[in-house]
Amino acid sequence: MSELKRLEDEVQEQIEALERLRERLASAGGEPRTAIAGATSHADLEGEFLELLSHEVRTPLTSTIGYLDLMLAGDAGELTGEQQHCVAVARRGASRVLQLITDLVVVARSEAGWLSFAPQMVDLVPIVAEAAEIADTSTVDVSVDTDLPSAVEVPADPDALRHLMISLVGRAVRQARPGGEVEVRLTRTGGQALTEIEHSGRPLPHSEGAALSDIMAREARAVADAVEGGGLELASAKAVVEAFGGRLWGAGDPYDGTRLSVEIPTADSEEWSVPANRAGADHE
Amino acid sequence: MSDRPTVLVADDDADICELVAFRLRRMSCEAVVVNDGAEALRMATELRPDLAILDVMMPEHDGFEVTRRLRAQDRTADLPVLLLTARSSDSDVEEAFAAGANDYVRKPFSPQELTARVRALVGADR
Repeated sequence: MSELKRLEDEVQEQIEALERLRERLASAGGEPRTAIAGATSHADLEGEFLELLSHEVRTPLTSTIGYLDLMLAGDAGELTGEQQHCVAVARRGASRVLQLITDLVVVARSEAGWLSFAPQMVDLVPIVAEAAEIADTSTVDVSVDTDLPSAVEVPADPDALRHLMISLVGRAVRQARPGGEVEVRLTRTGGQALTEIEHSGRPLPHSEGAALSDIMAREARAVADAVEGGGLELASAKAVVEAFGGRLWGAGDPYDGTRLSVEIPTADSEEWSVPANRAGADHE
Repeated sequence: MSDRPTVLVADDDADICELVAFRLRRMSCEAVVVNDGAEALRMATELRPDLAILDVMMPEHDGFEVTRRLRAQDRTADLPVLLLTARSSDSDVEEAFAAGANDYVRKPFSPQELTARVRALVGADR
């Protein structure tokens, strides 16, 4: 069990180190003192560095996640219920590190103008259904309900779209009130595929001396700011949606919960076009 | 001579080699492990395995170069190749197919994903 605790601590340290690195890179200014293979601006340098970091982090994560999955599958021997829980927690932590590094690279690429996808016609319905199906509700008392049409085709990169929906639904599950629910709806209106992901709110914290109205205002601002850079996960999601020619926005309050809306032009939409500064601009 | 499929695993990370070999043995495959591209090329030519799983980033020759060389010699031209890539961009995937790889897996991968890809290429059970 001590080995599991050490692994959990290591994963947490990696998360914190990556967060610190991101903050340092975001606050760094001026000309870079070193050059990484063709990087010509701070944004280029940051993007190149994060690509390199991504590769270096993914290699040890392959071992970490691979062996944890073997343990969870019982391939390394039967686990007790408590051991199963501990390994599952460590596995989730490793997944968070992977998610974090993926989001860092997406945001850095977007800021450097490198983020591009080769779109193909993709049915959004099974992707959203899968995201709802595999959302991890094993340790939280949250139900996930869906309201989906039969098919909605959008021009997008299927892997990036799948990653986007899994990320947003997973986030909603993590943030939902215990005993609450997450609703995922997909509708097609006016040449747009609108995916709405709504979760029930968390109860307000009881803080002595703080006026209820102040707490509400602060939480409401946090919700409103979330899409505009309050979280790396949402910043990454926003960059991907915009690369598809769509938009992402949020609304809500701490009592009723939060609703994230993702609008992506459908395959037959006249409005759809790849943003000019991104089309064919893939760095590699 | 065993009738179990023989799979060559080439990666300079010993932990990943062990992980992949463990999974292959659970699939009733014989796993032969090497740690660089030159050794991968030599063993593939000598053994003619049923599948080669090659990491992209290896010393000596990278996975793309090994794949190209395997395709260029008659003895291994038809050998199924599965590439492992830790890069997050699509460029590795495009280069993998351009080099002649049959399929690719992004790191980190799940045991189920690896099993499915191997099964598709060699028809191994489990």
